[in-house]
Amino acid sequence: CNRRYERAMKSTDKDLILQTANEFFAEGKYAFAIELYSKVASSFSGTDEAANILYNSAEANFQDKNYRLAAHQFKNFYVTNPADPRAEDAAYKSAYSYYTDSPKYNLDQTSTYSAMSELQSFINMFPESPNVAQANGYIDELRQKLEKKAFEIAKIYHKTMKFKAAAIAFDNMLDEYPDTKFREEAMMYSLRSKYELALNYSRFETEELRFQNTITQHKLLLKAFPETKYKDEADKLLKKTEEALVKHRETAVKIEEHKKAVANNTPAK
Amino acid sequence: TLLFAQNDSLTIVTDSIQVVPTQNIEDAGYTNPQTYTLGDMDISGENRFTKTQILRFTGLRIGEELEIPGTKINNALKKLWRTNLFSDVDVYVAKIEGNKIFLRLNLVGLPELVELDINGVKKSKREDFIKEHKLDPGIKITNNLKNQVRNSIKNHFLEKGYPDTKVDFIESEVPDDKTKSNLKINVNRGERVKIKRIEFEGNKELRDGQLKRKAMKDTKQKSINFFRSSKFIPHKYNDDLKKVIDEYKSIGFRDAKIVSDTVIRTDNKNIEIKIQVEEGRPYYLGNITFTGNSVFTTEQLERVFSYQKGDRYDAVGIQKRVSGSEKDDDLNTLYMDRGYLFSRLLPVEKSVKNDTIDLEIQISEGEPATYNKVTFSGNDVTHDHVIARELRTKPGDLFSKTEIKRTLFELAGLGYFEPTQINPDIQPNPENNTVDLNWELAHKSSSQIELQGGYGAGTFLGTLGLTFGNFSVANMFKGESWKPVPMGDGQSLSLRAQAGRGYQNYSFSFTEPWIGGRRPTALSTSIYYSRYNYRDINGEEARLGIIGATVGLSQLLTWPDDWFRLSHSFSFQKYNFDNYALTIGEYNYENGSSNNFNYTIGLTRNSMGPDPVFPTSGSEMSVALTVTPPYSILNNKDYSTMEDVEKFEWLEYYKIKGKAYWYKELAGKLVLKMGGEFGYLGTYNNKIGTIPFERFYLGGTGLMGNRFDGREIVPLRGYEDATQSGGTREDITPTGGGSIYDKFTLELRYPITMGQQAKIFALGFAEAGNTWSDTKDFKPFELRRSAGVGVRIFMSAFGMLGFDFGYGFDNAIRNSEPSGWQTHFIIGQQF
Repeated sequence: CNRRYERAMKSTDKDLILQTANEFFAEGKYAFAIELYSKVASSFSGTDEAANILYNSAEANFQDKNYRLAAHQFKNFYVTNPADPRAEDAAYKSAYSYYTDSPKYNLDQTSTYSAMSELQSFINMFPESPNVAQANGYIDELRQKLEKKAFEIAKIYHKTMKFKAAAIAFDNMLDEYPDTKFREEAMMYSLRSKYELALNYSRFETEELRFQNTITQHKLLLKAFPETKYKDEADKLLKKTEEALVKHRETAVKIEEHKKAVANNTPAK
Repeated sequence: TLLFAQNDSLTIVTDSIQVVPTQNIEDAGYTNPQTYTLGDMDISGENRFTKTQILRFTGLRIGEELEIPGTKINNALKKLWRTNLFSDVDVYVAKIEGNKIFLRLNLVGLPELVELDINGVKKSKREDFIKEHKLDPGIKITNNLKNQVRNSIKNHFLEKGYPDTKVDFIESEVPDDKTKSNLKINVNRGERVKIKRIEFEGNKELRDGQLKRKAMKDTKQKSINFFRSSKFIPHKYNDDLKKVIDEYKSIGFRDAKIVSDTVIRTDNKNIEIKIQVEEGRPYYLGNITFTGNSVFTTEQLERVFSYQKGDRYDAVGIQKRVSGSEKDDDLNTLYMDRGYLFSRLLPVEKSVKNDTIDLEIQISEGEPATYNKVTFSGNDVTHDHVIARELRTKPGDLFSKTEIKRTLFELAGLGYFEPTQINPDIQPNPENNTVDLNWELAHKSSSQIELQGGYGAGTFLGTLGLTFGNFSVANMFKGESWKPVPMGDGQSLSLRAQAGRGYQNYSFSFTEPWIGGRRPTALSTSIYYSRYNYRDINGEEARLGIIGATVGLSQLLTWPDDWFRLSHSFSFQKYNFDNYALTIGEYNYENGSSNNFNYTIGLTRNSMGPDPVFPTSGSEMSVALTVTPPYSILNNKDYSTMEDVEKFEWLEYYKIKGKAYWYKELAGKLVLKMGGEFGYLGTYNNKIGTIPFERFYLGGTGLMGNRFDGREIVPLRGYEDATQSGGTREDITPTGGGSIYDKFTLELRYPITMGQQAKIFALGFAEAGNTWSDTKDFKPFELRRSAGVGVRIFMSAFGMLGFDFGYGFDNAIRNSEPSGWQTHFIIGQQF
């Protein structure tokens, strides 16, 4: 097996190389086939074999679990051979390869974005394909992965007491994924973050605005989820915020009076 | 009739298409395209493709509608060109029948490369060229390809100082196959040309030497200095000419210009450069006004701006002080650090009276910007939370250039990403005064496998070490994450085994940089076991075993500032002697055991940076206190009559250590490191005295000697390394080691190169230190002094290497002569 590969690899006879590559492909020895196809591809460019080489090479990479390469080659295939009967299959497999290449939510999601756009363009190109339903399912799954990523990062900010960052991150996440399944939880987290920020981490001048933000967030949560499981906790936070707001305003009035008193050059009460 | 023609040297030039109307389509001129159906296409010319293939290349179909002239036919030609298969493509109209048009394509195929031969280029470089231009068998030999190869070879030699490189292509057809060719590339690099002389004319204010040194940095005159290679590279020469003008501008000669410059080839190997400058006259700064500032007062701005009325008008320096200083000490950075990302600062020359220029710095402050979306990409291995918790640029924070830099250092410091590829991608949104920030990252492996054999300590030693710098314990039980080991949670795990004749050592350590909680708290643990055995002169077995374990917690503080770390650790060591003659200080052990259980609390502040190998700013400071339980108070034993072995079965002591070093960039790249350190080993009970373990040994670089007894080796250059028990003729450490020491260092460092592969710096030092066995002898300023010079080379594969020549001015304890010159080799550690 190895000797056959070495012989083909060293050969300058392109037909022999291609034949050996096809044999390895048929035998399921994809790693060998991939190497030989890539060596011989440029010699056959423009011939009838070129399409087969590209397709087989993509398929071999797919079978060998080199999804990133397979995705790229399948895409190359259906773009250059749109009339080929294998084009639809290639477009689906390209999108599917991108999908498979998408990593866990807590790693870089560049592949996920490519996968979503590839799946979408497959659906647009072949709306009648029996694979459309499946492709739509994958898109949903990937979007949920991105939702989870945004949600978990926002939670890290909350956990490390970066409440300002957490509130913005939760709100951005809710803007970006309005129908997320984490909506209720994220809204509650946003409320908790805003509450903490307003009550425990604010200077006097910023307090009023932040109390208001907290109260607004409470309203938003109850409007979206009147029966929310967090109702008790949310109401408690609201009550504390309103109390603090009253106190804040009393202090503000006193400060004003004091200022006036100083201005009038009479002793304060 | 020829309809369209293009030739190879033009890649795609659509507007050069010629239309030669035939008698049948005379009324279908350029301005009036007509639509036909493609009847058929004939192919003529020398090529090996079938009609179907050619049609596929063009994208045309028989029977499809065509406009003549029109975009479809243009695109078809473009596509044919793009295949890079043909050297010539012509389209003719063969005939027209009604609305059917019959076209003929005349194609000339390009030869295909079979064998390639490049002469006159080094083998490795040859492969680079082949890779760069994909010169593999089967590629079509186009003129374009030949031009590209020629240019890249010529450029390569030009950069090396060979301006006369000749590249010849010799193509020979393969017998029996006209479509194939062998290609031979002959390269003759010619003579290496050096710059014999650079002459300036018309310069009075700056001497030739100053201009050459400061401006002509990449165009250097031939000299005996081996490292200063002299070559003439036109584009770098042009840049250097601009630097000449900048030099003048920076001393106020704002009208300076280069009147002429001539480059003369005096002979094959040499050129001479003559540069004529016109200096003009110096200008001075008049009144400086700031307009539009409300965030900072004019006084604050003046302080940062630093130029004052009456100074020479340094146009270059003024621009830098306004924005774009490398050191980030400009006005723009001042605003950026307060979040004013959208601020604009513009120096405007208000008036020029004689030689005085009034300057107005116009400021438009804008609103402060905060981060909105903060993301990161490229973390293929490292999990989000490891990165998110390090960020100092969080949503809602004010935009700050300084914090971006600090985050960059901290991300680089993790060791999981390629430091050079960390890039903050800043996307300002002026409409709502926010910034989106994406940290672009690229994975770097932080695992090491160490497998080595070597001769050391009189025996052959084999070492096997595994270090995983970005381990993930949580993923240990998930099968699919073992590729090859679970990674991405930023934990570090290290396993090491070392064995030789009569010696074994095993160690395990694990660190979790953030065990949870709200502030970064690191947990580290380590366990080790060492065994030494030999047969003594009577043939009996002698054994020493050391087992130890440490658990520590260290927390980043937010007060007094966030560079501080507080650490706690518990540590235990047990020494077992079995007929093993070991000298610890002045005591000899044979049988028995000694235990050291202690608690250490330490406070460190480390802000040195940005490069940990060659810090140019910041400081490192630490204080630590180690204590053991006061056994003698608790157990009521009479220590005055006790045997040494029993006395030291459970070591009791306390130890205080402190050090502080500062780094500061002085003039240019010269960096000053200064600071000092001290240590004190004390006892609770005078009847026991200071323990013979854990003592201080001063001198040399401390590479030698074993450390069975927990000793601390304090380097002091200019003196010999401390011996096993101290107190010899060469030692500056008293017999049995010191219980108190202090040391002061002053070092000047100059970077020679700070490249990616190797960092090299030279240093000169003056230091002084001493150690005493007893506090009552302690005289903090009766020190042993030394001075000298040295070099350090840092390569990531080897760590720090270097040597110092130090002169010791004072004598060793039992010697009346000064220590004199000493040579020190430095391996693996930092000074």
